[in-house]
Amino acid sequence: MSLMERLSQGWGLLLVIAAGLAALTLSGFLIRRSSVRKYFGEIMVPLSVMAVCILFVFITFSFPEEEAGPAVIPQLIAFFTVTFCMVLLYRVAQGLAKPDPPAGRTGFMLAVVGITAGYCFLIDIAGYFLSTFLFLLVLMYVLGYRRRAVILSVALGWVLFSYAIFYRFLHIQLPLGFWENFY
Amino acid sequence: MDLLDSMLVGFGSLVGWKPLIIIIVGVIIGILAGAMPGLSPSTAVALLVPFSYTMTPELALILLTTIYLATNYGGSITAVLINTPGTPAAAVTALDGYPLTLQGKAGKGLGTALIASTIGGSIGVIVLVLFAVPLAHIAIKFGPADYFALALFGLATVASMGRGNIIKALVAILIGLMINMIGIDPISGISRFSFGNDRLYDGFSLIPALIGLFAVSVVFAKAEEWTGFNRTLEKVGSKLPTLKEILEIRGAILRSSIIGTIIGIFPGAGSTIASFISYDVSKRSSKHPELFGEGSLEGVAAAEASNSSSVGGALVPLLALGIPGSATDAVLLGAFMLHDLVPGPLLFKTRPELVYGIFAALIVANIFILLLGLYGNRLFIRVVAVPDAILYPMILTLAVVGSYSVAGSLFDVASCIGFGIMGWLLKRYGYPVAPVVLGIVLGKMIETNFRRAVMMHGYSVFLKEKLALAVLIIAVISFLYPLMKQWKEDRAKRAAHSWKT
Repeated sequence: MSLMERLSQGWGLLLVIAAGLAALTLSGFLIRRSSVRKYFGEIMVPLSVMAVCILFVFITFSFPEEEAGPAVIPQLIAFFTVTFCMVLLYRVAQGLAKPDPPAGRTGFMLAVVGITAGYCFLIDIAGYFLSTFLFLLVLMYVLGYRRRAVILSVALGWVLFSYAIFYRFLHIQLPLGFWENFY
Repeated sequence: MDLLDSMLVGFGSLVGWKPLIIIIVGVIIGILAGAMPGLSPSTAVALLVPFSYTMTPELALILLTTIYLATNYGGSITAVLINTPGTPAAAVTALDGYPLTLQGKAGKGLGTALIASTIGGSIGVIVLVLFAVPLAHIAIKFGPADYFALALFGLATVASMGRGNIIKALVAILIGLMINMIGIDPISGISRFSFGNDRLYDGFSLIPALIGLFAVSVVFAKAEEWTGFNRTLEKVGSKLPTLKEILEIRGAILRSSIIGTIIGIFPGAGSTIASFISYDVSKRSSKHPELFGEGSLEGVAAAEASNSSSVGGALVPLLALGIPGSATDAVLLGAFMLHDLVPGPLLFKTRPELVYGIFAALIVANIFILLLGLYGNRLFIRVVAVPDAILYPMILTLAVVGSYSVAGSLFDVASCIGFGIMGWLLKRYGYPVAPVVLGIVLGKMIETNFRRAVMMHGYSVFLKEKLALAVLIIAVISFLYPLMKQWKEDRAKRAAHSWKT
């Protein structure tokens, strides 16, 4: 087994992934502390894409070798992706890239993502209807809407609409969570 | 005669209350979605694809294509009333539509947009029928090499016509193609890049990916720049344009409809480019160019006729060749796949009632857009005024139901949210999302046809097959031309920079 094949599966692959993550973290750390920190996203996005491509190329070494086999297209895609990402990095180095857009309310956005992720997690336990009701109440409030009667009626109305249209009419088997025992 | 018979079959498939109700529902949803700033046609169609799953393929595709058509008119409502285009293409409508509102002539602006949209949409559908049918007859003889070349050409034009950084558009396409590689290899059957996760053996489900990239990413992006701003809409003046005014702008409507349809046919061009070009051509050929930008009915008509007619044009490559001509077409392709259908020449042979049913439904939908627009605009405007703080949470719940309903899997819901984060990140740093989707949708077609062609005839097949070679040359030029243009711009920038220092 060649070195490339060893690195394309099992512990070898884990080593490649760990090395890639470490390299990306270190790059991000160094960029944040350098004069090019206003190009953080312009550098980190191509670097991350390149890292994934390189990982995919390593994995292709474990594929059977044949003409027009399963490795050909992924390797071609990875080659072109890495090439174009390097051009993007070159443009940053030459001062041709635009600096990153100013940071918006990233914390607020992450809170919305977190609430949405929590909603997905809750669906499994409490079922679609209850978790959707709670999700709508919480998110509308977080987004700054303060008319309680409207919030309640929208959340309740949406749950009833979902039940009638999605569950009953379109027969979408929405998850019921612990309510399943009562059905 | 054959075409007329087939169209009769198409209209025959609409007989009954179900198809008509579906068309009306599609038109209403399309107008409302189009009118909501932030909801593009592709977002609206992506959100509704999963709910069509339990319908018959005919009804499902009628619903989705009708929504696609109606969003283009819907976009004009907020463009005219509050200078906020509901769709990117309606940005051109706002140039003259909003000044009309400021002059107290909102009714004339909306009325002109509606009539121009209806005429443009109808012309687009007629061209679709006339072009798609013969093209499909020719395409039936295409081999794997030809299909590979055509799919590559589709991606090339999308990249080349993307505004902004061409290299980022290319990287976005390649990201989409790479995502498509995850799962069982369609030819050898080995598992690729699934990391032993059996949920990834079939790759990422297309619909959650579409919803995540097109709809969820919009909500996350909006959250990042959240100001709590809510739309307030003006009351619409009831005075519609007179027949004389419509007759005066007939040239602009017809010209723009033809331009829009032709531009729509080219993959990647889309309704926004069609609107800008038609607006510019109408201004140049107008007797009153000085009125453009000041509230010209001709300007509104040009923009609306072209963006509505581009829908018919964009459906030509999708239905005849199976190659999506726009981001919304890519979503529609996903809908076809969801119903185990492959759009392309064979579909005309195997399911003629479905294809001609779509054509007939689009013609009928144009009539409903006119009627619902005339009588329902006041109601639509009230619905559109719903605050963002209510709208966006509902989009997220719709996204969750939609991605769950495809396979009843919470993994799909999680991947939808993951794609939403990815879409937000890409957009934030200037990478367009539509090419990612096209890469995902066209990836399988590109890979299987490339490998089949090579397995059957070797790598030289792309030089021997004349059509494939010609299309590949055009595709390479389409890739290289914008790259060269950007390289020249970069060189000029560098020269200017060094001259300054």
